[in-house]
Amino acid sequence: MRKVVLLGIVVCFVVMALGVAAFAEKEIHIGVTVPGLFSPAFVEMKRQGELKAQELGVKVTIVSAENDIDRQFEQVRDFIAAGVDGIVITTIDSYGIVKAVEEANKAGVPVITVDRKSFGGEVFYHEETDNFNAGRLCAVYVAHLFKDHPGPIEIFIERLDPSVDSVEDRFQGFMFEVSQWPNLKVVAAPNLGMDVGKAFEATINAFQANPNIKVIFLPGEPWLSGTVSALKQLGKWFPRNDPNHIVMVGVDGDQFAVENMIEGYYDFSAVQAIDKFVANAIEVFVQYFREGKKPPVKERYVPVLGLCPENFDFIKDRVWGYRVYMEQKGKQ
Amino acid sequence: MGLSRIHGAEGEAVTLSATQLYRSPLGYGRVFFSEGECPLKNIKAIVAGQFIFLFMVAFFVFMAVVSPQFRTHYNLFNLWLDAVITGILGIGMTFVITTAGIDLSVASNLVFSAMIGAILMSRGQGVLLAFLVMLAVGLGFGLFNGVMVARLKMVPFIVTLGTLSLGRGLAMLSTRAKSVYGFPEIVTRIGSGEIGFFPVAGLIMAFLYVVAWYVLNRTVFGRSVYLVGSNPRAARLSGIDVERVKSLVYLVSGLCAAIAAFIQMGRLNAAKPNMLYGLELDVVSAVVLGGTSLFGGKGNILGTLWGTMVIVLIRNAMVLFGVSVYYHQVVKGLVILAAVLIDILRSGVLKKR
Repeated sequence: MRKVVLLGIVVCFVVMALGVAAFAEKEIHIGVTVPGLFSPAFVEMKRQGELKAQELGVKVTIVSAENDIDRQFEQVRDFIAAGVDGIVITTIDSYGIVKAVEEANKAGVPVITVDRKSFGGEVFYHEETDNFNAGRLCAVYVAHLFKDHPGPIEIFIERLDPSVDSVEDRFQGFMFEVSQWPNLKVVAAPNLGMDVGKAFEATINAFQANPNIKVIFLPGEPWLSGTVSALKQLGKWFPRNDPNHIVMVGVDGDQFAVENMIEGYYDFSAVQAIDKFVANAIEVFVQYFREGKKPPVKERYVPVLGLCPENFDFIKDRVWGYRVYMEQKGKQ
Repeated sequence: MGLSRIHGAEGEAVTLSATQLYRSPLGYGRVFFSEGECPLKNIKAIVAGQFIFLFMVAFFVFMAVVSPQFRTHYNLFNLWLDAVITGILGIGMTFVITTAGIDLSVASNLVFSAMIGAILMSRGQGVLLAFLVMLAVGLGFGLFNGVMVARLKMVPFIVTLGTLSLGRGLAMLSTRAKSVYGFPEIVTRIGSGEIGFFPVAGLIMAFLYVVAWYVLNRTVFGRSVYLVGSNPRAARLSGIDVERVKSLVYLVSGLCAAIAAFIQMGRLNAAKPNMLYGLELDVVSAVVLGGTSLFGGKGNILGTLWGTMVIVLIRNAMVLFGVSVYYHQVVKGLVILAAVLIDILRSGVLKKR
């Protein structure tokens, strides 16, 4: 008898829960897939997205694809199955994601891509950094630093995954600008993939083969710590006012770059507004679902902000890496 | 499935080493019992023997009850399709682990085979030729692993760790880390198409499991695999060519990797040298979860399928429930550990009998 009563109570609870769920107002549900949480930029992008969802009162599910395009494909399919209203993708591979976007199109779920494009399928809205010019700006800074130097100024590039179009565009932009300056010479540009250990290894190897390297360009700054460790091990870690200083420039504007700039070791960062990409995408979706408003343009290329020690105090409050750095410092 | 049917028509007692074993038609539950005794008298023991299957079914039913999205045709189709790559690699891995070996190079082998096939197709070569070359690459890796392990007596973990790195490196080198995309329609149809309500790739996986079940449970080679894994000395004394069996299981693994590579290409309509990183660990998890012992001698091909399904179900459930990304790996790890632990505890019931 007791068991029957208990079972009855459980059944009541289940029925009540299902009833509440059925009568609750349908809230907007947005699925977001990011490449991984290995980069501080993606962590911040996720956090800002969650804050925006909270502010707008929508449900957001954010998943990480662990840098595996196949997993990201599965995640998009899972979102479709979960019945989300819209999907935001920061893809790992612009070609590899096409099939997933097409699947979403077939299911009638709108897709917004941020930071990296899909080279196929119908995308509702796309937002990314003007990556080519971000890379170019870094090279302009280097050219400006060495404008009176006869050269050759040897440059080492920590190239990331060439199949990621955003970082590849930065590389191409940097190379384009370097080709305009006869005193600048790229001596090594190994592919590091997405591995901080490889940044360390590659820097050691590059300096062993080319001891006169004067500049390091990082198309993405998450592996900066590996590079810094390598320079320390090589005995080449000098502040900016030292004649032996190795000039370091990069794209992102994350907290490691900010920290090293404050300490006087990092030279220039092309700061992305990447932290806002997911939040902006959520806002675009909410406006569309609630008010039927479509974004005025289908694609938006956000310019970067050049951050260097000379302008640091003027623009630091607009740099997401500075905000994260200060928060972490506050916690310590 | 009637209980009497398990014992009568399908049940079979075989002698491996000094142990009496029982195989049920589900392939799982090699229940220990004394000669002449009907194992079905003890339902508890059967439940214990089929644990991972029952766990998978319970999980499935739970999800179907609590999540309306789970029950949709799209999601069920999706689940089946998501299990394909891990499932097919799991077949080869079950053969290898049953001989007390391990093949850590499966995912790298898959990726390298896929890159070679993709390059050939992108240069206008026919699908059949590309597939044959992919098979050759997959089998080549398997042969290399097999020779190193069986003939040169090298430790499987180290050999396949080496080929893991080799495969990834060659895949990167083949296109300088760039993706290759856009394959003939037949490839994408195999990778993500459907026949009626069923995914083509899912049907291929099902067929491969039937073949693998038959080979492992109904052929001399299959029996040899068990015996080589449980007692290589006894196997040798029984006239089994232990080295040949060990080499062949790595070939099976290589073959599975090549077939999975072809399906993977069609699935994404693209091949990327750094895709499926860490998949080999998911495959090992699925195999062990399915009841195959890492120490060899105890293998269960259908258990691998159920293990694969459990992993896929966990991943799917977390997205459907909107679980925070930070918990995904933790939850997956805990569920796998819990399932294996419960399985061990349940198996204890059997051994005490």
